Amino acid sequence: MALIETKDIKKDYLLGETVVHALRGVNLTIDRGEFVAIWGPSGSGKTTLLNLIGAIDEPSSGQVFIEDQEVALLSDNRRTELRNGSIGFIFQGFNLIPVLSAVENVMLPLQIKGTSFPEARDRALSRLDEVGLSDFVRHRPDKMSGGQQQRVAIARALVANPSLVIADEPTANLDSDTSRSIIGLMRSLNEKEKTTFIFSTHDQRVLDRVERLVRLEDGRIQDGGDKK
Amino acid sequence: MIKWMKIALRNILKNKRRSFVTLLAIAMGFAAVSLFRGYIHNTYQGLRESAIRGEGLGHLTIYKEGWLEKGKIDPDNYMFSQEELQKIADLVEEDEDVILATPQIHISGLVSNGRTSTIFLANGVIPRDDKTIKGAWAAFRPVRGNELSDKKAYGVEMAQDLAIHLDLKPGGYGVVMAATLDGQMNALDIEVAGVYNTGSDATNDKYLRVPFKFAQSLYDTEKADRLVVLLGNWEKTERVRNRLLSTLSGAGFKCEIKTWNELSLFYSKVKGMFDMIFMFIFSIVFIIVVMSVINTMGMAVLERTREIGTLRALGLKRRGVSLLFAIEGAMLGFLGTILGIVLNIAIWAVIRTIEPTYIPPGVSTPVPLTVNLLPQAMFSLMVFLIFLSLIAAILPARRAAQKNVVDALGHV
Repeated sequence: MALIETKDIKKDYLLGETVVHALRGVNLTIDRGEFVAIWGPSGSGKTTLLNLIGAIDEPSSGQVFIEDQEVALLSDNRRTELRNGSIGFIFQGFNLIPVLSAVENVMLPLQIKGTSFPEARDRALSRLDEVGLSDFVRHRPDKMSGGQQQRVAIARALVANPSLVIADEPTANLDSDTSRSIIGLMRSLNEKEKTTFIFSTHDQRVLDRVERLVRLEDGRIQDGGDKK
Repeated sequence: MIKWMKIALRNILKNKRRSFVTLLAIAMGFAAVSLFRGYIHNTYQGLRESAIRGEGLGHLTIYKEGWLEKGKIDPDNYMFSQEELQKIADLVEEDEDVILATPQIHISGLVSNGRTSTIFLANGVIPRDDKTIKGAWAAFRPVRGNELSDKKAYGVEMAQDLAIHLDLKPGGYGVVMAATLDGQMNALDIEVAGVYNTGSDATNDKYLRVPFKFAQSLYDTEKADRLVVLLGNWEKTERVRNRLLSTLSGAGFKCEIKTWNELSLFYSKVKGMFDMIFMFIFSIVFIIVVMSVINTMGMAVLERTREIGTLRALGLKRRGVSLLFAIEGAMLGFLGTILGIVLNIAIWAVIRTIEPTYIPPGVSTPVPLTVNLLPQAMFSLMVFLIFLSLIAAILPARRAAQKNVVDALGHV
């Protein structure tokens, strides 16, 4: 059973009076445990596709299925619950809550879910340990480097044990070494826990550890739409 | 809930200057309302005591039905006889909340020192009952000379300005003249036993207090026009009135009963004026608090749009986002009112220390500016302002919650 399936999804934006066709009919199937990179030039529709797969946006037409549920048919609350329980997000700009420490940031998805404080804290500390930040649990984001912040974001994305982690240009704000290290970390977590990772990038340097590449151009999949 | 409170508090502390300005606005608003409320509470207290004890109105005044309407034209017909007074007094004093029921008679006429004459208004009172009614108030406006006494039937207390006009001092003599109930002129000698200050320019040049028997003698009657009732607790005034009305009606007496505040025109007017000023100040504070919180929370929502997008992406529902900002608004209200309480107590302490005085319009002597500290009222105001801040925060919070996740995440 596919974890993600998109059927001829299109997404149009109105930019002033001009209609921008961000996606022009994307069909994509991703199974559980895959490590997928969506790559292509800027403006190719990578972020739009990830937003639709992550259930934070709706297509202009077509269907998105996550765990066999059609996203468009879910209420806003149900879709929010789906994100909380099944999807982890890693953002290009890290998007950590500035007033919370590393461990508090990682605890957030669990606390939103209603997990008790001690359990949420234990799980968050364990995830921070996995990403190599056990010495930084009390640090606030402004006291950490970009690489460390992105590790916190990875720990936060994984803390609720989602079936899918979506990372939108996770290495865009990082130097080469840190980028490789972050992708390596994501890959090892994918191998260890069989969590599905989908990330977007236009950085060729980080693609060598990716098992499946989906190339997007002008809102269409050029290559990698079907699993090899 | 605690985690959201933690985030809210940290965000308040993060924007120190903006939060401080908002907290200061709430605190000053709180202190202004609370201090003014404390001031008018003290003023009402003073005016109430002045009416009940100073003017000698007691808490309730019982009239024969029709007295207030037709008593001036046909007084004899609308006054209580001795027998009626006794029976009514006995019935009234059976009530557990009543301390005293005493007959009084209001008289008017001319008072003369032998050379000049002027009008007077007098209250005929039973001296020992009058003393009971005055209670501790007597120390606030003491009588210079001697007080009324059962022993001296023609000894009267004269208002200060009237004594000055007539050049009479304690121990001086004069004459009062008035028409009896039958319409005959009557004159009686008086001795100014004591001189007192009524506290009001309007009455200080015409008031006398005379013994009850003396007043009856001047009007050549055995009757009285009212029965003044003193209660143990002023807050029970309305309840006791209703009870007495029913008791007296059951006993076959047709009476009307007025409360002290209905009879004290000054109290009603001052209360009306202060209530309006209070509402005015309260409305201004209301607007300042609402605008401050809306402004602060509006800025917070704008600045934290990406954060809202992130929280929504992580699985926080729309009502969760609203709750987060509503908590922050309520917390601003809470911290602001805490600061307001500190400010309030500090100003209250300064006023207590320097004891300023002022002369209100129509009052003949300086009165102390006193502010009461009202913990219960402060608590109510605190709850109200927290609730107000919460409501004011909900407007921008709802806007935040409605934001599209992608748009919020893309916000710079």
